[in-house]
Amino acid sequence: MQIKAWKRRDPGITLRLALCFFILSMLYIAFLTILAYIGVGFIPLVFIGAFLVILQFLISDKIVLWSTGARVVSEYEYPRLHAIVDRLVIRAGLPKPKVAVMHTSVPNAFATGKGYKSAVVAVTTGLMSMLDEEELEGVIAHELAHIKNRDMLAITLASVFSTVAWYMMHWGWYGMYGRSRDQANAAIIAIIIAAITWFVSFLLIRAISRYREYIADRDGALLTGKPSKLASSLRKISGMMNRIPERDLREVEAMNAFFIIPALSGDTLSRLFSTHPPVQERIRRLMELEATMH
Amino acid sequence: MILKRRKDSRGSGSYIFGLVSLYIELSTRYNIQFTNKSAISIKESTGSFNEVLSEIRAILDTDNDVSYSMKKDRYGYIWIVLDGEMESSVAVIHTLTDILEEQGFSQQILASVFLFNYRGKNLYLLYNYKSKRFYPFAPLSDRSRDHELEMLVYSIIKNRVDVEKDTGKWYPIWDIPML
Repeated sequence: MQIKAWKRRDPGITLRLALCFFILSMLYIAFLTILAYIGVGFIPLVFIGAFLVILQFLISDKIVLWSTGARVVSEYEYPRLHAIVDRLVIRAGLPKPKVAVMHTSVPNAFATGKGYKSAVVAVTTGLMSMLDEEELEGVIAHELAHIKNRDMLAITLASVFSTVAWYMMHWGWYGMYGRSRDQANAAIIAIIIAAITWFVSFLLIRAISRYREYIADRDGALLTGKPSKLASSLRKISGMMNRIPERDLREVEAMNAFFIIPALSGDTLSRLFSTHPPVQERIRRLMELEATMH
Repeated sequence: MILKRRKDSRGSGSYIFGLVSLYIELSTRYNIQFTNKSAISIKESTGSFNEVLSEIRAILDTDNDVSYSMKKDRYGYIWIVLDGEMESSVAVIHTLTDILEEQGFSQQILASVFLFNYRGKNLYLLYNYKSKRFYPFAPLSDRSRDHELEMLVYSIIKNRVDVEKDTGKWYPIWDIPML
């Protein structure tokens, strides 16, 4: 039953994604109407934008590997890591992705790839030394869930709109020079609308990304059957272990008078811009999932 | 307004009654068993404190459902350790906090603690009288904590009783003189 839940695509995410694309499309139609009003051929520009986005997508895995310094490793080099991936992909019904390692003490992991066959799962050496076997399995299951749900493709598609808006914004900017005054005014409006489009799509992509993280947490946890292990690795990675105090309550009481409690935190704004949901919230959801399994 | 006043008149200690329905669910559904051991910890004080303590002793002596012992730890806290069913223990602890509050010693109450057992592990539910919230505390033998168990218990109880959401305030109480 758990495996079945894992295989099923999440209908909620598809719906949300469709809604996002719909809103973006509406924004684009508005934007293109303005362009048509200016009376300049925008078709070549759209082609250039689309071409760049497709190119970016096709070589994305190489870009990611190159920019992170991750190296694809063999079974002989990292047998333990390969064994974990092997176990999980069999149960997930995925072809085995490439396994890569980054040499850094910072604990982290990512998954990338256009499709199942070109997918790569990468972990840092820091992650491997920090986590025990089951926790590492939890993290890798989370990354495999990203591959399974084709999150890379989803985010790239969502980015197409924002990228095209970005190019158009530039185009509007250049179009302002050497033209009559009316056209310059129209170009300014185009820039403003492009900027708004870009900003809205920027926020939407981040919202989609955060949502997909939750899905990957859940799917990954269902694959291993141990949500608490992923929760505990998230806690370790985020350094939240230190947040639960070790200091005795009686000692704290003794110097209570000196405590200053921060009244307000400007969390909401930074949350809006973040691609990942807050770790506390992810752990909370995982532990709720764990509680339902008992 | 009426509701608010009524709530205030219940006193800070009455929130622990939430445990009475909770502990059954913890036991049957999650196999987290109450060990019949609980305690309240009070900072020793001057003035009429000793008279209040004698009053407390007198009450506990007449109680047939719950047996007790009194211990003092190295921080100068008095621990009244109870042995009895959850319902009676909670009632006793509530009576004691009522007396302490009436006599003006409410600030001296540190916490009440309830010891549970989960697969051989000790798990305490702490009730902090200052914040009026519960939080879990699962000590391991080497003065470290079983965070995984604490987070699990947290997610179970958080909608049932008032729980401290800020994990940064989950202060441990080491060497609780209960065992």
